[in-house]
Amino acid sequence: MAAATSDPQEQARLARVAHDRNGLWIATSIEILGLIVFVGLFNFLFPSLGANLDGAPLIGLGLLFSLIPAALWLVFFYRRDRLDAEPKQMVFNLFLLGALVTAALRGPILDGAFQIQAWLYSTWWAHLLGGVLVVGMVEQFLIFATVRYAIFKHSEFDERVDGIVYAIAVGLGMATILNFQYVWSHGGVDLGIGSIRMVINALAYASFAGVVGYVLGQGRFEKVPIYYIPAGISVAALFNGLFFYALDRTVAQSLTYNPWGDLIFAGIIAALTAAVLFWLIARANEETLRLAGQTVRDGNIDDSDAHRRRGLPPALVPAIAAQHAAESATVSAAEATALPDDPETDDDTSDKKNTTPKDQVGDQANDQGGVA
Amino acid sequence: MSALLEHLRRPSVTNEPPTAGTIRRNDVATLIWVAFVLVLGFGIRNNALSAGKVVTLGDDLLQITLPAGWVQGTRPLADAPPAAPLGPNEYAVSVWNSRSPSQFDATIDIHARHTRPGDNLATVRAALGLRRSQELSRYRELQAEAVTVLNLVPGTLITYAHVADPTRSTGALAPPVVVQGQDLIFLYREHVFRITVAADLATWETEATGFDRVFRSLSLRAAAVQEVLP
Repeated sequence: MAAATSDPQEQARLARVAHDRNGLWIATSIEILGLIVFVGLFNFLFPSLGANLDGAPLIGLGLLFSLIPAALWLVFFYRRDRLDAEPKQMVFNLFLLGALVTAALRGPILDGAFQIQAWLYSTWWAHLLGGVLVVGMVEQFLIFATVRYAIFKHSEFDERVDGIVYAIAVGLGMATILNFQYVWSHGGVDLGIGSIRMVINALAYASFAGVVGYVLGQGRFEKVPIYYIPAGISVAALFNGLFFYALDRTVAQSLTYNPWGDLIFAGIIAALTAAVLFWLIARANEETLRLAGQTVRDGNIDDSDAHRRRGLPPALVPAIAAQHAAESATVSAAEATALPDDPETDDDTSDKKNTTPKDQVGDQANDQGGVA
Repeated sequence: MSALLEHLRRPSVTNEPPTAGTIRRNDVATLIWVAFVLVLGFGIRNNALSAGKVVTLGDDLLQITLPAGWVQGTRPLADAPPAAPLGPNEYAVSVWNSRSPSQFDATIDIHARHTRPGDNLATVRAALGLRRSQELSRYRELQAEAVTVLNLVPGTLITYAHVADPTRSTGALAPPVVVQGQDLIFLYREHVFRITVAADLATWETEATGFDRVFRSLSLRAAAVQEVLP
């Protein structure tokens, strides 16, 4: 991610991501439309597409079903890392790793060590508490461990929001495996409600993982209290458990059971967590910009090691410094051309001169918050 | 809540970077916390496994604890012949595990009837064996043990196997399964009791916790002296 200190292209990019929201909103709208089309296809056009499939076609359908929502949500969240986007290859690797870890460990731990099939569904309280304390905690710990031991010390993990992006990739890898298992275990039937379930499932796992990723990002670059990361994992496990409780009920009931209520409840939990996550992403970007601005004001522009330790991407501080320098020069030129006996003009320019660097960073931060 | 969210958002006021020791400390704290929560989860598991619902037969004739979460009623895919209507002083309860991993859902059947002249453990057992061999396909008795229930009431625990075809009535193509069952018979308060547990042999170990719940509630013990059973 290295860039020249005063690379005009980098400056232009930063200015664009900080101010131009149209491109992001258009791309976001297209992704949401893609998800709606995905659900609509299997609800209205091909509701019984998989009913007569088995073998390779069923595997193909399962892969299609599990990968499309995950890919759309991955692109959706990837775009939120606007200051210093992560390499796509690295994000994809984490996605694969998340899928592999889930396929290799989730089953043996939950079905083998905890034997959840034997007791989890026996009573509502076992379902709820087991969902939070066992299923949620195991799944979120797997996400935590994958990010912590695969990417945490990597040089590409260079800002707070990177923790969220990589954790979301891992969470979507997990959701992909779970969705594939759903299609496989149902023999390809029930794709109507199944398609909605998969879109919600992918969003939910991405959001829970994002909460874990946020605390990991903070723990990577700041001295956090000892309870901070465990608390973050617990919050994610709590949401995960509630979601698991609601979503599992959609397949756990009798033939006369109407699953829409529980599906909507699961969707609300996923949407709420996603809203919290968007807020956290905005705050992470805002914090990064605030620290970058502070570093520029302190005049500590060229110490890239110190920047890396504080979670500031290498190109960010020099680019902001150059931007501030250019703005200061503009203000100085305006001062020089202003009439000396015009008090109104004097007041305006002196205000700008005094507040421009700080306000500019604040503007960028606010825009980042607004974007997300 | 807002304070919690604010703290979650911004845990450090100084933005001081962590040292290697701080990161290691966080890792250890996380591992300890996760292990603690999973131990709690293991406790929930054990509680759920031992959780049961108490069923009372007749007018406080006998109380039996059945696994919580099992469905009470008649198993929809059972291929056994329908039970005869209950007579006076006759009681029956049936539960099945709708989440059994096998096509053959594990079942627990409880039946009690008033004793008739000449009823004793040997005659009841002989009649039951005869009926089973007529009703169940490939019925084979594997073992019979002398036991005690309800603090020294003598009984007999018969282990048997047979072949069942649980999905045949639905037209599905699933193969038949080998079913293992146990009949616990005893005479108590002028009634003959039969407790039957049955499950796919392949999933017997998984279902055994539910069966143990029933037998524990009856204080089932091996008899001190094992008489030679035919």
